[in-house]
Formats: sequence, C-alpha cells, structure tokens
Amino acid sequence: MGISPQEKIPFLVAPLQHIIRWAEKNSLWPAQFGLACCAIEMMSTASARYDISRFGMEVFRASPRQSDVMIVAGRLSQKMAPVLKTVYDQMLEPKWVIAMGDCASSGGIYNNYAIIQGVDKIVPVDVYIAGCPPRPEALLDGLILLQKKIQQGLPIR
Amino acid sequence: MNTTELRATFIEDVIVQLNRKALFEAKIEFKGDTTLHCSKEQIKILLHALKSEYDFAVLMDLTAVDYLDPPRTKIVYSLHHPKNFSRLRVTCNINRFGSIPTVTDLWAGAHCYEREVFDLFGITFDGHPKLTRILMPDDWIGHPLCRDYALTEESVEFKHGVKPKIPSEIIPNVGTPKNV
Amino acid sequence: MSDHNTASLGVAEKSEDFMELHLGPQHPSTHGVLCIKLKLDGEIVREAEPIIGYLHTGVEKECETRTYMQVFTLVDRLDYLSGPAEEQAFAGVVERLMDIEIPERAQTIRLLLLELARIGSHLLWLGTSALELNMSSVYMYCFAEREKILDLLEEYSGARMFPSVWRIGGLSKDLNPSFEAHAKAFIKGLPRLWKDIDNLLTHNYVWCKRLKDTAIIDEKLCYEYMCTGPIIRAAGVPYDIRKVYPYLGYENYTFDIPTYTEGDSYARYMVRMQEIKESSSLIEQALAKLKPGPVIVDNRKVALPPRRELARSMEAVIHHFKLVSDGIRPPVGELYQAVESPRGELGYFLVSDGSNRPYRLHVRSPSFPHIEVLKKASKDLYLSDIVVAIASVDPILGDVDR
Repeated sequence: MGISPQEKIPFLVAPLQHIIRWAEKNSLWPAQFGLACCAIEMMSTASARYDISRFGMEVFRASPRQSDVMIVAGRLSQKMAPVLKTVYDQMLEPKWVIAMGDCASSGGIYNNYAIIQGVDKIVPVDVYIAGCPPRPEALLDGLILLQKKIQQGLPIR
Repeated sequence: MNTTELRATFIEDVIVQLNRKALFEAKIEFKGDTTLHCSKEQIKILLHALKSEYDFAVLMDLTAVDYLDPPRTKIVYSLHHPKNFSRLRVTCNINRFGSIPTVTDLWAGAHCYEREVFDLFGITFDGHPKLTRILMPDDWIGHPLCRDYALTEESVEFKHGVKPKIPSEIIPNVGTPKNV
Repeated sequence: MSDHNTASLGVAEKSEDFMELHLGPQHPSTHGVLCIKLKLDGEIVREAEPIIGYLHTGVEKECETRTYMQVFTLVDRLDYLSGPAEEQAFAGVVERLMDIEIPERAQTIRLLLLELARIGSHLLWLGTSALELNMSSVYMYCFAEREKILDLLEEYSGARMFPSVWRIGGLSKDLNPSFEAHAKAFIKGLPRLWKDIDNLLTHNYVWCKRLKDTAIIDEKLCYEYMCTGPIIRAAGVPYDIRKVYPYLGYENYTFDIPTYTEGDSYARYMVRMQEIKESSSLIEQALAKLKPGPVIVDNRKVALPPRRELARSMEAVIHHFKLVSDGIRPPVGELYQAVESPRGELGYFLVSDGSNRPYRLHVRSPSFPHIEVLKKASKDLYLSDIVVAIASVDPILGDVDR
C-alpha cells in the first residue's frame, strides 16, 4: 500500500485480493444452524453483552443461499446429517464452516449409535471451537481466527 | 388425615374393588409408589376401568424396560388422577418384540409414546393408526434400547495403527444385569 | 387471530389439492430442530404433523453405561435451558430410592438455583418469541438480564449454563461469599425489567392481536394429551408439582399459582410473566432462610469426604476411592419422581438392579406430548400463526428427542 505524496487527495493503493478479502472477512453472514445447547450460547453472543455485530455478523440469515459461514452449533444426530449436507451444498462459494462446541468437533461427551462423531465427517471444517458449551468469548475468538484465515487467503473450497 | 394419607386410602379402595373383579395379578408397594402388575389379556380392560370408572384421566408416561434373563419386555403405564392427584403405575410383561393392544383410543396423546416404544424396543401396538419410527431415521435397522443392542461406540483414532479399547470393553458388567 | 373464520375460507376444492410444505428442520423460528409437515389450503393450515428425532442423542442408553455420579453431566444437557431442573429430578429419584435426607442448607441452595433457572428459561422464551414476531428489542433486554443469572451461576460453579454441582446427598460445594449480595442485587433489579417488558408487550396492539385466540388448548385437550406446566395452568387448572407433590421444602414457602382460563397463547404468556414474579419472590424467601450448615450428607458410603480429611485419614482415602471408581449401589426397585421444570412435569423413571449403574433411566419430558398437541391446536390457523403456536408451547427439542 502506498500514499502518493504529490497529490492533495491521498490515494490508497493495494492489491485487489487484499481489499476483497478485507471486505469478505468483515461482512461474514452466518447461516443459522443452531442445533442444541451451543445454539443458546450463540444467541448470547448475538445479544447485547457479547456483541457479535461489532464484527459485522449480526445478520443471521435463515436462508443458506444468502450466507457465507455456517456455524454448526450443537450435536449432530443421524437423522440430521443429510439435512446438514443439503444446507451446506446450497451455500454459495466462498463459504466456510465453523464447528462450535465439542459435539460438533468430535462427538463430545456422546459416543454412541445416535451421534455423528464430528461434523467434519460430512462437511469440511475451517475452525474448531472447543467447550461444552464454549463461552461467547470463545466463539468470538474462533470467528476472529476465521477472519485472519480469510485475510491470509488460505485455499477456499 | 393429610393429603398423602387421603391419596393412599383412595388407591387402596380402588385396588380392593379391582381385586374383586380379578383385573390384575400382583400389587407392589415400594417407597410410596403403588404398582399393579397384570397380564396381557387383562391390561386393556384394567386401563379402561381405571380411566372410566375411577377417573384416572391422564396417562402421564408410557415406557418399556427390556430384560434378557428371563427374556421379556415390561411395558409401564403411569396414570394420574387430576382431581385428587393420586398416582398409580400399571405394568405388563410381554415377549420381546411382541405385541400389545394400543391405548390411543383411550388417550389420544399416547400416539407418540407408542411410536417411541416401537422405535426403540420393537414392540408392535395392535390398532395404532400409524406405527412408524419417530426418533431414528426411517430406514434404521434394529431397535436401539434393547438390551442386546450394542452402544456402537467409535474408538479414538491414533497414529501408527494403534487401536485402543472402546469404553464398553473396559467397563465391567455392562449389559449383564443381575437381581431383576 | 380471531376475526377470520378460517374454517370456511380457503381455495382448495378437495383435500388432495392441499399443498404440502415442510417447516424446518433448519428454520429460524422452530425453537430447535423441529420439522412440521403442513398441508396448506392457500395460507390456511389444514393439517400439521410434527416430525421429530433430529436431535436424538441416545442419552437413555448412554446412562445405562455410566455410574450414578457420571449421569449428572449427561442428563444436564437434555433440557438445555434449565439444566438445574434435570439435575434435581435425577438426584431426587435416587435420593428417594436410597432414603437419603439432604441437609437443610442444601435444600435451600438447590431451590435457589432451580428458581434462578426458571427465571432464566422464561426470559429466554420471552426474548425468542418476541424476536419471531419481529420485536428484537425485547430479545436484547431479556438476554441482557439473563446474562446476570448466568453470571451468578458462573460465580458459584464455574459453568454458565450447566452448573453440575448436584450430587447424591446434597451439593458438591457451598455458596461463594459474594453470591448472596449479588443475588439480592439481581432480584432488586428484576422488577424494573419486568415493568419494561410489561409496558412493551402486554397491551401492545400487535402482540395482543397475534396472540389472543391463537392455538387454544383447553382442559379436555390437556388431559387427553397429558399437557402440564404453563399450558394446563393457562387452561384453568391450578396444577403445579411444587404444590401437589412438594419437594425440597416447597411446602414451607408462600407462593401463588397463576391461572388463566382462556387457554390461548396470550394466557400462556401471562402465566409465564406471573411465574417470573413468583420465582423472584421465592428467591427472596430462600435467601432469607439460608442458615449456616453442611451442604452434603455425612454418610461416607454416599458422599465424598471433604478434601482436608484425605491427608490425615486412611479410611477417608478408601471411601473416596470406592466412591469415585465404583460409586453408590442403590437397592433393587423402580421409582418415578417428578419436578416442575419451566415447561411442565419433568419425571424420571429409574429401574435399579442393585449395581452401580442404572439399569434403565427413562426421562418423561414435558415437551414430548406438547409437540403432539400441536396437531390439534394448529387446526385452521394461518401459516404465520403456526410460529406463534410453537413459540407459546415452548418446546425444547433436546428434551423431546433425548
């Protein structure tokens, strides 16, 4: 980036990719995929105390076709797995997935016939957030990590 | 007499009258709870009598317990009286994966409870309007809460081909009950 | 909405012309992963069939492989809005099975936590229901107040939503020194929020129009479908387990049971608003009743010895080892015990075979039949009123699907 000193109106010069990624990371629209207890902490993050809207993410779109990031919050059961895949497929590129909580990352405290041991068996995950349920600050930490990942331009599926 | 004694006397009166009609096989009283045990032929008549004559208008819970030794499934009905708040439990032993008459004509809300027992234990309810799976996916094979259905745990993935034991192999006596 | 006779409106000529629409399972307004298969006649719902099972976790089978102390963390997460209610129900049934009398201070603290959880759950219900009717400032107010309750729980136990301090025989730790002062401050500030929300919603034209006469569940339907909790209290029956089968010393406290007779969504809203007031009065009474004393029973076969004894006494170490590795062994038998969760009657049916693991644990969740009653209650409603109907019934899918 450079500022041209001769002009009275300064210019900001930057590679196009950096500006696109800066715009992308600051206006991520999450798709609601709250399943269980972690969804309550996700709602707390969206409310007044741990404000998620200062990072540009207060618009939780119900429709996956209008969203960029899918926050899978909660335990994924056998019956819900095809639904998750369908919703992920309906999102448009570029898209990212955050696995929030222990149950979404790895099955959590449940290791039985009904719970899929980790959402990454079905969709590719970018950020894993640990906790049962993770504190709202932990979710914000994961989102900022995702923002850093987007700014660095790591491969997008 | 306080309310607990009033309820206990009411239940005793009901049981005495039912006993005269020979509608149940055994009565168990355990820590304040009264349970009536009956056979498969008597169960529908008994529940109908309890609902219409003695006004146990609410069926609070319908569930099942599976045993392997001797093999049987016990269906448990928890009844509730909405006026004097007494509670009565009715149980009935049937064959594993057997059938029993439905109670959806007495209590409409038993619809979902019977579907759940069918899904998780394999019991068929004769006369149920739509007996399909409710909690598991529609094409699931097996009835998960049966005692001989494995918990199906997944062992943790380690490097270099190390395969640790799953918890069910380490916990002793899971699946082999005694004294029931 | 009462001014349209929807039974006679509609465009379809015969029932084969109805359009089938799935509402959910991924939907912002279904309070969890609930799918409702609707048969629509224009915009009017002629049939609604709920499809559940999208959150089935297998908790009942998982509990058969855990010791009694380990089950607490599993059942906590069933009704994830009021974890303390589930923990109390399980502890209650095991303590009744083993004839354990818990100390008075433990009873008072348990009651405090239960009522705090009840206020938190009702506030969250109010916030999300208002959000679905596009009143997002109520959502922000309710959640901001709920954060204070979560702060109290976190100060006490370390975790925001699931305290996990219940043990068989009492609680695992005593209240921290600043809990009472913070709880009193919270109770002092609650009436102001209640008044704000009351001013915003109770006589709000849009709120009243949408909620009055929507999804009427009357007393007969309640008995047929075993509805309990705010639903039956809004239908005119004053049935509250805290009064009828008292536990934790509720018989020594003075509180009312709010009852309304209309049975529609507005009556259920009023019942829950009054319950918030009653709970806060119960918390004040409990804070006044707190007396110093032990928080767990002294029986070493049931409760862990205090940590400072482990350095001095060999028997304490042996008891500790036995309890942690093996656990307690209740007598053979089966019992059913119910508590009043914010949604209704939460009952646990425990079959014990004398070993250190439950033989069968069945959770009678309040929301399971409530979702079933939606079939009848949502007859001839407009599509946008289905959202109001589901919200007023207040289901928690973790409890329904277990």
